[in-house]
Amino acid sequence: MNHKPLRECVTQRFEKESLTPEQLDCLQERLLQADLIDTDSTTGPDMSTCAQSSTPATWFVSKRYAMLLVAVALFAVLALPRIWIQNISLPERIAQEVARNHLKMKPLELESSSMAEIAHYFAQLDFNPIHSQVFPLGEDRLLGGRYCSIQGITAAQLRYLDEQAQPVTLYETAYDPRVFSALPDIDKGEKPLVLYAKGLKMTIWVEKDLLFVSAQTEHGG
Amino acid sequence: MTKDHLSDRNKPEKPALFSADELNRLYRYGLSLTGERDRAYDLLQTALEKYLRQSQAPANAMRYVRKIMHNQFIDDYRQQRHITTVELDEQALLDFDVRTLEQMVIDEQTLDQVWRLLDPLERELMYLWAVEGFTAQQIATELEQPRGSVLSRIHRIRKKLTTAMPMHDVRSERGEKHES
Repeated sequence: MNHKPLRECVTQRFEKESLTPEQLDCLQERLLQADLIDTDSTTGPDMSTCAQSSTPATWFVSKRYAMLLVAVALFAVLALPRIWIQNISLPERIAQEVARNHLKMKPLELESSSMAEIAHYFAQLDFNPIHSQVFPLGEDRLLGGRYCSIQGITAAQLRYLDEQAQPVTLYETAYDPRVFSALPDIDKGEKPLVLYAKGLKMTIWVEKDLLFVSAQTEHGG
Repeated sequence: MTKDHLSDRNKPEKPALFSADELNRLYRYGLSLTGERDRAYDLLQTALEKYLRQSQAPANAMRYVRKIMHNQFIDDYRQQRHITTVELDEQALLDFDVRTLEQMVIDEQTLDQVWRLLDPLERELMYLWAVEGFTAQQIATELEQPRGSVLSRIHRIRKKLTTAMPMHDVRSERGEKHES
């Protein structure tokens, strides 16, 4: 037996574990966004503000910058989406929205590897979540689910782990062509639509009158 | 708070709010509590979101986020099961300080076995002691708990360790006395 001091053994145990590069990127991206709020200001320095923000965490918004931020945010909320929406297709918007949700990795509301249990949990939906014929991961890789939405329509979000232990999310919602436009329907022999958003592989298809969107990291090789 | 640059990840030379090393330390702390990678990440993510909503900067950001993680975990955990908070007689604990853990040696396989027997708060203590290098008093301060609670937890950990394995007490072998 290779005996070591307990402290060393425990430390090694923890140091073997690290955030995945995707998780780290996601967290740091958000933290940096928060940092930008405070450090990208080009207005003249206010010494009282500088003194306050010279504490170790300098990422909180002063009142002055908060007002500026509110104005910018209002413009962004009211004007930019109209400009942006005109330039990208609905599938791309769906892919962007789902990719954003996938990267957030919010806690699961129900942890279960039973599709029946999950379907029971999503009782508030006006559809019954099912296992897709073209989605490759089965119940053995199912972690659980949570309520979410796609384009404002309530949806079920199911989380799986792929063979490389990377999270894969599958979104299911009732398919309404008036909302989601015409999307590939595998029941009509059409192939799922594959897009890339935020570095993720997004797959969109319609099956049994439900809209499915999956988000996953594409493994190289 | 340390502000490491992200040059090793080919990011712009902008100071990070938490360096990659700090985020990994917080993640490992989450692992000590949850025992599961996904839950540790969720816990860290939730804690950072709460941290971002604070209107005032805390003096020690790492400690502050750990505190959020601890409280969040306890809230979640209490909904599922009871957390043992049995305290032993303080006098009976004089011989049990984290230094009693310093003298132990163990092999990885046995640690794996014992690890499964530790509850979340015991794993948390092990993390704070082994990885963060805290003393019993520092752990008590960090967790805002009486030192007696920390000592009783150390006592339970030591008991589990000694019960589970053939272990050597280095100081005992050297004939040294323990100090509390």
